[in-house]
Amino acid sequence: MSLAAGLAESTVRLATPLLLAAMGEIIAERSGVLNLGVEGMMLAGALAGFAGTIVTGSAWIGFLIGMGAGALLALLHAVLCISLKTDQVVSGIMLTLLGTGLTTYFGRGWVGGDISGFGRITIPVLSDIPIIGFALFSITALDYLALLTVPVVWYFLFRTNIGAEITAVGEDPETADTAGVPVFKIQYACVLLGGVFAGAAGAQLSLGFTNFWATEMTAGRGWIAVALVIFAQWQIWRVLAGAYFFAAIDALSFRTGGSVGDVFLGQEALATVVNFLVNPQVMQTYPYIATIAVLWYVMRQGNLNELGAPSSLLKPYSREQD
Amino acid sequence: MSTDALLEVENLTKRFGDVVADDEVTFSVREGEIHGLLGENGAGKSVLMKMLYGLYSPTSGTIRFRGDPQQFDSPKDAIDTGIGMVHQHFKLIPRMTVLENIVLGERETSSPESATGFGDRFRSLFTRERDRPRERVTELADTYGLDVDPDSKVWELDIGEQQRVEILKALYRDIDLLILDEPTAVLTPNESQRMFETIRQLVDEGLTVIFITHKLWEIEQMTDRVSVLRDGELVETVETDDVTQAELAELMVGRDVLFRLEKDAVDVRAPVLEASGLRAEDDRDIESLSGVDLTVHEGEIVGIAGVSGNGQRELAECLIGFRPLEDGEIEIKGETLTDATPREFVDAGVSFVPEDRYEHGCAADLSVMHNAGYKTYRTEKFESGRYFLDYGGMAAYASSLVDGFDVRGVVDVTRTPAGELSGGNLQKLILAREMRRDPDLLIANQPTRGVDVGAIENIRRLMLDQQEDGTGILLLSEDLDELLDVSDRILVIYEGEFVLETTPEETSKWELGMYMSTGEAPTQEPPGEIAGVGE
Repeated sequence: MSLAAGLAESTVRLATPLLLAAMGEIIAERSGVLNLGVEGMMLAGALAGFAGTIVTGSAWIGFLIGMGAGALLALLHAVLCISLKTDQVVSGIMLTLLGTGLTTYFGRGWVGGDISGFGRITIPVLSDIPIIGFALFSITALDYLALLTVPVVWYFLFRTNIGAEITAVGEDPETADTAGVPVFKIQYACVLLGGVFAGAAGAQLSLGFTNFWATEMTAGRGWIAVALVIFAQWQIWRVLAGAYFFAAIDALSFRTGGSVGDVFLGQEALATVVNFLVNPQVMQTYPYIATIAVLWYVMRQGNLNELGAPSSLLKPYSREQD
Repeated sequence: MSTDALLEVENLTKRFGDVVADDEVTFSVREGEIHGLLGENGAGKSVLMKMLYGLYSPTSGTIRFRGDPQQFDSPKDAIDTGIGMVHQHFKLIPRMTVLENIVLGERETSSPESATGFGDRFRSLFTRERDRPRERVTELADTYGLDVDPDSKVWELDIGEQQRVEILKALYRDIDLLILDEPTAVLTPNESQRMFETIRQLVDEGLTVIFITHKLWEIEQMTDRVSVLRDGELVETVETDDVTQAELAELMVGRDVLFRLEKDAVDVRAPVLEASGLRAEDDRDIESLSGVDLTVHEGEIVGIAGVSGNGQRELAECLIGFRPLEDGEIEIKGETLTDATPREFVDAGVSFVPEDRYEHGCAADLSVMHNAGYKTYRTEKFESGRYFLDYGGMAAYASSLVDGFDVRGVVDVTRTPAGELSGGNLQKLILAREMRRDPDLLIANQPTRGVDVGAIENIRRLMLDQQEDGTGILLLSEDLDELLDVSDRILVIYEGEFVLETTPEETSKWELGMYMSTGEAPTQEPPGEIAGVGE
């Protein structure tokens, strides 16, 4: 496999957890509830999915269990933020810490476990297309599923009644309420859906990517998904583009391993700089730097509204006090 | 109760903690009538309507619709029963289109009949239909003259159009009873007249309307019967034809209301404000104040008349150091304060009542105590030790303001957020804060806008008292009666310049109106009495 084809393949597969988690986060945030617990929900999904697969012997059932684990943590966030009106940021960070702690503790027994996970589904002929053929047509069912969620979520949010209601709730819950929209049900549903997606993203990592469980194996991908939603300014197609962009950086840091600079135009000083820039650990900061750049670029002349954030994000709604 | 009652409310009570917003309210609305609901700000009108619309659940009491007791757990229940409401602050989502706003929550599908099977439920959630609703909206809009483009975004609409969308939104839901919460508060007189025609047409076709207002002439012009609320209690329901405006005012406020205040002549003394050649830009960097000279003397009230947006706001903000001057000079009591900071203006004895009470007049989430003190907290009065504030003293000070200026709705000065006060009461709190520090100059921008009759009288009286104490007052107002009543001198501002200087004795409403709208002297004789406009 050529370097380019290898990079393309890694990019597509590394984009899957980002896509899944960010799709879930975008649904939750568009209903007005920020969930910074994505990392924790992903870890829960990864461990539960892995354990579920070993116990039941079916990767699909394991995957469903992983989604359930994500939803369970999300339910906690929903109760705290929607019903009890606690601070969404505090609750979200708590969720990440909780997810990390719980999976570290309960995951010990599963380290070293072995599963076959999701295998590649190779589509003949198409997978022979140079460079992208293998990347797009020889991937796991979960990778296909992640790609499929993009148009589905887009349709769900922008072409259905419930999607319009979600947008309305995220913009102005009081207005939605007076129009007869069940605000709390919708917020609960969206946060839970976000948990299902994050759980799926985590389960994909352990079942469709590594085929093992390791402590804190999400390695910050949950946070990247959160950043991705901001980077994409809450637009579905930009999440797709952003997920590939961030995944490509990830793939690059995997593949190059910091050795590009040695041969860089024969210039030692330049090589040092390039080596620094392609250092895997440095490269992992790129998604965040890109997000900061977008924030800076938009906010320099505009406001949060122009950024595209739902107007009522972070603001809990309660009916009896205006 | 009469059998033709569409809505009956019996002993409806709403408490928030220790505060009783509505106390055993009983009244009924007949089918096909326009029923006025009159009351001062904070009398409990809005809370009452929120109970009828399912937003608040009553503490006790019953609501009957067509004779059947109702329990509304959410606005959805009220809508399904046939009640619609147009809120005082519009409930529209600016980023969505007119059509999306109207259809929101209705879950329209491609099949016109509503069905309840699982498949239908699925379809109502995961598909949508826009063509049929668009036709229906267009049809409603044509029938009632509520023209508005269903596909424009709400943020593009002006206030009048937004209100039409609100009415369409209610009508779209097939309602029998429409509640209008202070619908004219944000409209120009012409838009109000247009809305009144729409309402009459709707009533002719069988709709029943509850019309909430604190404007007496609207009650007189629009309603068949009127119920008056005072301090959360229903005082009386009367046939509109049987009462005069003065009687209604008395019912509402609980005492005689003076529509005109007696104003004693006050000696005018040394100037407190001398400004010359003021130039300033508005928020879009367009010149909105084009070289204005202005002097206000001790104990003088100078009124500034003008149509909104002719530089009043910029003038007021320049005079407190909030908006940078492009050119010109400002002296307060002989001290040059050109380009000084707002704090220096405050320290020089300038007080300010801003146009937007919630945005610039208070920190809405902070308590009444914090808000009451935020021009005086730096004085020795509240010093505790060297570096600390005397909170007890501040609370006592806030309480004295609340009592002295009759600010209602404050449960605990240290706890009640200023933003929870009704508009009129918040305004009284702001005036209290600004006046109790005994300023040399008071700049009041639209101090009585959106405030009820009782409070208006109070606020004007407070300004007159302050004037007697020697404060110079600059009053910016769109209410010509107010300007003519309290000012010593009146200046008309037009496109950032003063086009007329006069006194109440020398001028008339008509002349001021002509200068305000054209910037020039009237070219024709005044017509006879203009009917139907004004309070």
